[in-house]
Amino acid sequence: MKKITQKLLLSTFLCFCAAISFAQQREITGTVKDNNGTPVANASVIVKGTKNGTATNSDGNFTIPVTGSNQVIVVSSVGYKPSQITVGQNGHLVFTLEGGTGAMQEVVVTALGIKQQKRSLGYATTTVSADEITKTAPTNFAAALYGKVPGMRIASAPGGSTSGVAIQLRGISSITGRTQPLIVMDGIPIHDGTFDNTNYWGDQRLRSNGLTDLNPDDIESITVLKGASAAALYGSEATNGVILITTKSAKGKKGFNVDYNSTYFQDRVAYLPQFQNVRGTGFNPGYGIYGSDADGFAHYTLDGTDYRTMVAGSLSFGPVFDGKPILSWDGVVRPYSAQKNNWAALFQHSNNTVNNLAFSNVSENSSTRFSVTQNHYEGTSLGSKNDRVAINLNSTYKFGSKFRLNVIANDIWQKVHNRPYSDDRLINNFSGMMSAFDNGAWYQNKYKTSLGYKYVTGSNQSLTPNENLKFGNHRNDLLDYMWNVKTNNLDEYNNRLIASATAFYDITKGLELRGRISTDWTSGKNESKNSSSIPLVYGYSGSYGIGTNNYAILYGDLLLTYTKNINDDLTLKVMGGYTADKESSYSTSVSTNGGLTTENRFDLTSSANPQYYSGSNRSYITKDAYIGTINANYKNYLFVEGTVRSDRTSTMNPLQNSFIYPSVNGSFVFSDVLKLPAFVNMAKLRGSWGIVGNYPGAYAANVAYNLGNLGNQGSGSSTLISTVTTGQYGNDNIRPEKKHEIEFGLEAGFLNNRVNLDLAYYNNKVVDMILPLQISQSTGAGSILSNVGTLRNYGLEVALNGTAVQRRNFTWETGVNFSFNNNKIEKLTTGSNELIHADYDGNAAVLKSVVGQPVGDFYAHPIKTDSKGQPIVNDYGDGTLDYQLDGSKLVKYGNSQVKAVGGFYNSFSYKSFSLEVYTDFRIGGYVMPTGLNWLTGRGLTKESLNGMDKAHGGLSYYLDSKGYGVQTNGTTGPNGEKVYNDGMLLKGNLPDGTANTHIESSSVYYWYVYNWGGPQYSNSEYFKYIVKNSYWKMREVSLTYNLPLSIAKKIKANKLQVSIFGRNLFYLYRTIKNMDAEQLTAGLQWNSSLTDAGTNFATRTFGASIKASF
Amino acid sequence: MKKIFLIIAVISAAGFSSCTKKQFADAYPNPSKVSTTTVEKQYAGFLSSDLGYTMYQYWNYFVVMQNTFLPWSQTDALINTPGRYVPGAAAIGTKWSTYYASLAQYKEFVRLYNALSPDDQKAKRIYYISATIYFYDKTQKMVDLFGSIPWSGAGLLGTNKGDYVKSEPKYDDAATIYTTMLDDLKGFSDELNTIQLTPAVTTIINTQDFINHGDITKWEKYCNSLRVRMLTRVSGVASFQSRVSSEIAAIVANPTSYPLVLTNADNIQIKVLDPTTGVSNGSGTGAGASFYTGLIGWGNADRAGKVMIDSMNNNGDPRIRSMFEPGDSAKPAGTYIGLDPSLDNTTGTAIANSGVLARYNRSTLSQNIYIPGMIINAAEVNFLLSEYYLNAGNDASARSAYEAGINQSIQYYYWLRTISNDATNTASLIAPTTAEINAYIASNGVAWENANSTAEKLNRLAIQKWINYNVLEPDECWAEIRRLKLPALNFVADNSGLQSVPPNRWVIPSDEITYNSTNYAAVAANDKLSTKIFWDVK
Repeated sequence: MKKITQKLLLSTFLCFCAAISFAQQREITGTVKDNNGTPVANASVIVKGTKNGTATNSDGNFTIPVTGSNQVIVVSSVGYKPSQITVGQNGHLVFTLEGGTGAMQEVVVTALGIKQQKRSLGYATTTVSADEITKTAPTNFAAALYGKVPGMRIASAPGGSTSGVAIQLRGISSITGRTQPLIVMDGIPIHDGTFDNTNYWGDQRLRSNGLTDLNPDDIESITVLKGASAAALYGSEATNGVILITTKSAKGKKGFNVDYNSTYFQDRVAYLPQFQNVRGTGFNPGYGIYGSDADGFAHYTLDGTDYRTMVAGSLSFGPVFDGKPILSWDGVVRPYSAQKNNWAALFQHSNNTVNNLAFSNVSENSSTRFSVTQNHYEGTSLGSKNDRVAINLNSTYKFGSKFRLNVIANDIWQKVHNRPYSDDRLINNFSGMMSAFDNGAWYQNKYKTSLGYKYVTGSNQSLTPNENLKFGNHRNDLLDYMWNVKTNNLDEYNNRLIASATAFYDITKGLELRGRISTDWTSGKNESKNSSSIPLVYGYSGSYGIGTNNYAILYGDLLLTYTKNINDDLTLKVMGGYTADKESSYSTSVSTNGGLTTENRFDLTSSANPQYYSGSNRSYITKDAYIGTINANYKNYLFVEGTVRSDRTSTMNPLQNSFIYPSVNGSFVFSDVLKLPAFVNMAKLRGSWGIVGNYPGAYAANVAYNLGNLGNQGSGSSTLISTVTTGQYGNDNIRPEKKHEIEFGLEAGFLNNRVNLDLAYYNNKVVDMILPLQISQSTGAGSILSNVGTLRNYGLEVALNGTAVQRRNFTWETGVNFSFNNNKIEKLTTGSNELIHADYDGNAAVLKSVVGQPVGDFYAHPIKTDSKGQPIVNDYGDGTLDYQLDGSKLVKYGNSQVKAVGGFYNSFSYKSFSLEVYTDFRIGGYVMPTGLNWLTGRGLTKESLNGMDKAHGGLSYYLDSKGYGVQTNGTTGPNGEKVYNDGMLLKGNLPDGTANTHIESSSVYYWYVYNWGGPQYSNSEYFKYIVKNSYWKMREVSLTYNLPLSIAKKIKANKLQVSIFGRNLFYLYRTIKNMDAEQLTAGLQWNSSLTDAGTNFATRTFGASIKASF
Repeated sequence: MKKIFLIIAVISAAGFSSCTKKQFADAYPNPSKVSTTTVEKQYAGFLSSDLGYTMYQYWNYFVVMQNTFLPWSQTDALINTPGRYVPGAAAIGTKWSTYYASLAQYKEFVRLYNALSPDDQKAKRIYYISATIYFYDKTQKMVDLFGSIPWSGAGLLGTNKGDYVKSEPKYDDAATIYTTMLDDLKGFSDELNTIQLTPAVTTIINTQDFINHGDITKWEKYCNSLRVRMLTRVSGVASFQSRVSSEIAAIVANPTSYPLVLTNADNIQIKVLDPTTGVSNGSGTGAGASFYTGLIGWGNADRAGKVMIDSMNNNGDPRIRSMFEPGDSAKPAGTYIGLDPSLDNTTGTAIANSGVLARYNRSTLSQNIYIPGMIINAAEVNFLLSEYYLNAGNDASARSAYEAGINQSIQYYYWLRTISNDATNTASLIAPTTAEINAYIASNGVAWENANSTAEKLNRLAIQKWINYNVLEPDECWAEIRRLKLPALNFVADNSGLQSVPPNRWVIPSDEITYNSTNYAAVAANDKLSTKIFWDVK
């Protein structure tokens, strides 16, 4: 992987050094501005078709010599769309560049929505523009950021638009607290929430986090603040960085405009495990694991005829497909042949549409943009869909010359019907794994009876006993899965309003007051209807439930800014303010108890027990802060900023809930001062230091009792009241996590700004990490909230981009960014030198962090070796053998932290066509996709075919009287024993020290090695499950065609664009072939994305869109 | 400048008035929890903390029992699947964490009790004694499963004010735990004879003690019966033998001071008054009943095993019609058929699927949501006494206790059917007559006098105990089978993994091994499925 990266870098660089030019005749002057009217410095100005070029100065002005008339002048600057004007007789040309990222003169939105010149910033920021966000119609903005922001790692949970997205900036800054950056939209802190889909028994539907609600079509730009200094003004919750979202406004437009776009795309399940399709269930009959005949089949007599059937079991080392008739579990006699694509019927193709219509109007004293977006998304889980309507209004009004008001409102209405259902049982449970002679379509036929009740097995009571499933070998878990996705309905309705009003008041010259009040308010209800599964005569079944939820953030801030030019060279800006934030959430639910008294009548009045199940939850958080900043600007090339924030939060003990977060940063544009080689247009050094914090969640610090009411238990009228201590012990003395970060960076533009470089080095230390520290149940609680120690993260971020080729009709832009992050546990205060995060499958593997090592090392038991260093072969005494695990030893097999992430993009435009190709990669980070290994252990993957016969390298052997395999070349054993050809030899020594010579069936090998459980339960070799998860993926490809204006005009459009695109298309490289590299994403916590391959499968997307402006 | 000052004043005022200290303090505690409690509330909290395992509910049966005690005791149909003799991590982990969560409530209760004034402690002594009896009962079951466990030092996190390093408990030796409990229970049995309750305590404990409602005599019976059970369990251990015989002798010699649970009216059990409260078997009924869904497991686990059914058929056991119901396809119709545990998986599954097997009676047991949570009953105490008399050479008393036990058991299972509101089993139940019961007691395979050796008598006792425990007291059932090696059950060896026969104990769950590793190291060497519990000496 490293090599590939190096090559890419080298070739990219070579391209940059290709074509540069000169020429001359008469002088043309011009000005280059961005669409906010801000001058763009260092923009490249070229006379088309020549090598004649220059760059704009700091006021955006340029002068260029031109020969003759009708020459075309092209202006470009990185991050903006190139613009061109044909030179007439007029002397002065004005260029307005649209779009904008990365340019040095650009104005960047920073903390609290304060706009600053990018050149003045002492910390790293990255801005991504609207265009890049919606090019391939991702269902949420985060999925558009793959590989586009140095230091940012994205992982989308599979399942579709309703699945969550995990974002990590510069590694993890908290071990069990939030690792997701704070999301701020138009200055409003957004409720993002969390999700964790790893607990199948807790919730079988896949949940998501709040950012997926936000409508990508309304986003103008996204700015990512990575370091502590950048985020210090947010104090709390900014340990993981901040994502600032600016929604679209009418700014930069003139008069009345209409934009319309429409997109369709389809998702299909992709990157399934590589299944074998040569054999069904069973096992080598010589071992007698299943009651089978000598060929490995079971038999069933139906209506007097004896049929072959498959044995009932989850091991698929059975007879090879022969195409002859067999009685399947669904009662159909069909040829015994592979059921190719048998997984298809378990999922659906999801069809998605997005339509967006936006109006904008700009007049002298106001500007308004109004947009409506309609989305219809579907999940790949059968019947899952999501409909959404998002309305966005963004208006600015001027009242006189001193007062401005900006009002923004986003309203997102959404309905989710049957959120995707977890695939857990298909991957993580033996009784849900489908064999090669089985088919999702059969489950679609059999999950319910002809009367609509849930399937019945064996001789269990049924109104349709003839339909009972009797012929073994169906997967109950798959039948249940099908029943659940088809007959259990959950509808969720949500309305989310994110709105703000910001008033600006220019009090006197240099003194500005800004006040803002905003809300993020969600109101929702949900309704569940689970069908009656058994007839009323057998009991009540089914359920109905209804619930409501409400979440609100009320936020306000007041900032007073005073700017003063001390002299011609020095400008000072001082700001002071106050912010306050109240969050509240409520939920209530009520559902039937004991089933429905009338089948499939969904209402509480159908409850079998008159006392309904009910529950409620509420939570309040109050936060506030005083903030102050001071900025100094010396000659527009030296900038210093200092900030301080004093925070209070209600989630901490009221006696000690106030904390101070300072930061300083500086920027030095040394290209303005020093004489640098001519090819350097601009160069800037920056540095920053700051502290940010993180608090425990609401109520996590409480030491409390749960109060119970056990009703009247026969003592007259008294009610029995009880208390029990909570299983999670709080801590009234908890301190906030604090991240101290220092950062240095270099930004430079070369070759007329055709090449831009941004480098950043950071080093941070998170002290007093907060953890609900897992402790043994025998202490009296399962966990205790603690400050456990210190974690360090350090790393490097590199972004390099530019225009590789610029010709008359052809432009090639390319860029690469990557970041390396390392972390290390520096200190633990728990009295131990390690922190254990998870224990898997009865101590089969352990995830822990050890002092001096990075977070999250995977440990497992190695194979035991004897005094000669030979692996010990364990002999069960019945002819089966496996390697003896060393139950007393745990060895590290890999670290879960991703070493590097990045992206590589290329954008080509030829005449009216443009092709954009985005790839992203991740290097390192071990995972343990346990369920996929179990598929191998059950004989279901291609890998498990090794040794199955001579063609697959199997040895020939016969079984002696004790069941041991003896290698032979004969066609029968010495006493006429049957010879099998699926043998393997485990090299090593038996416990008595002699070399093992027993041959065993390869099916025994796979079964034992990839089985469940730690050394108490089996010798499963979990160290084989721990594998590196690196990839390089073709993330997005889009091909766009701008229709000629003449055609656009026919529908009165100024611009008409069509494009086709694909997402998640294929891998250029991946280390794990049996899954999508992101399939393990089951939650926002870093450690809920390491082991669970059973939430949903990833998808591949193709689509097309049309965009028009009027 | 004036303006600036004005503005600054406005901002400051706004800041100070926005959030007050009180607002922060008010938002700190969780409104749905409480920060203080009382001895009485915590007492009820402790007693109710493991109800899911004392009552008959889904999780215990589906996750814990279905794959462990029930097949290993052959109290249900055993289908020979690979890996059947290794207890699952979910079963072990659940059992362990429930016990320790409950233990933590007990220790918190003790902390609150110890903080009372000496006068209050004296007045509320009954809370301490009764909670401790119940706690010891649960502890005995844990020791019988795991052997040495963290105990005396366990559950003290609250007492130690959150010092988790100090709270990591050491393991107590299994025999020492038994000794401590037997000593304390002996003391309680004397103390309960003299204890007096104030009217205030009487009123409140009547509500808080949902097991015996503050009835001191019932707690005495429970205490002494528990002593007999525990003494019998260790009766094979040389170092315990003298106290076993002397203490049981003292108990049976003085029934006034040391009353026992000897008739069904004395049974210590948790009654279901209202299925919608927390003290219940869940509110689901019929095929949705919690016990039923757990017991039937993956589809056939509520079916009968051949050995038990044959014994009941052969001797005309009147319990068969209240405990079981015949399979729908049984041939001849209406006969009770059990699954032969020696059959292979395919054959066993096919027979179970064919519907010929008898199943546990849904109306009496699995769909009877009014079935009381059994703690200790008359039949089992009689059987334990019978064993004591048998070993003491008092054959006549042994016999009468044996027969009394059978009688109580038969009556008990019939009574269970009468309190059921479930009508799934449509056959109306015929009450067992005295003649029928006597005929059963006199039958060839049951009659005490037909057993011609002490060993055979012990075997008959074991069979009766086994039928009486069946699926309702699986912990005790499996412990007695391990202790006595009776009834002699045969199992097909499982060649597929680490354990080819049913294990002798459970292993410590991995969470405990991981998070209490230093203390675990002391018991690690014996933490094997094959290690016998100290009382398992036959």
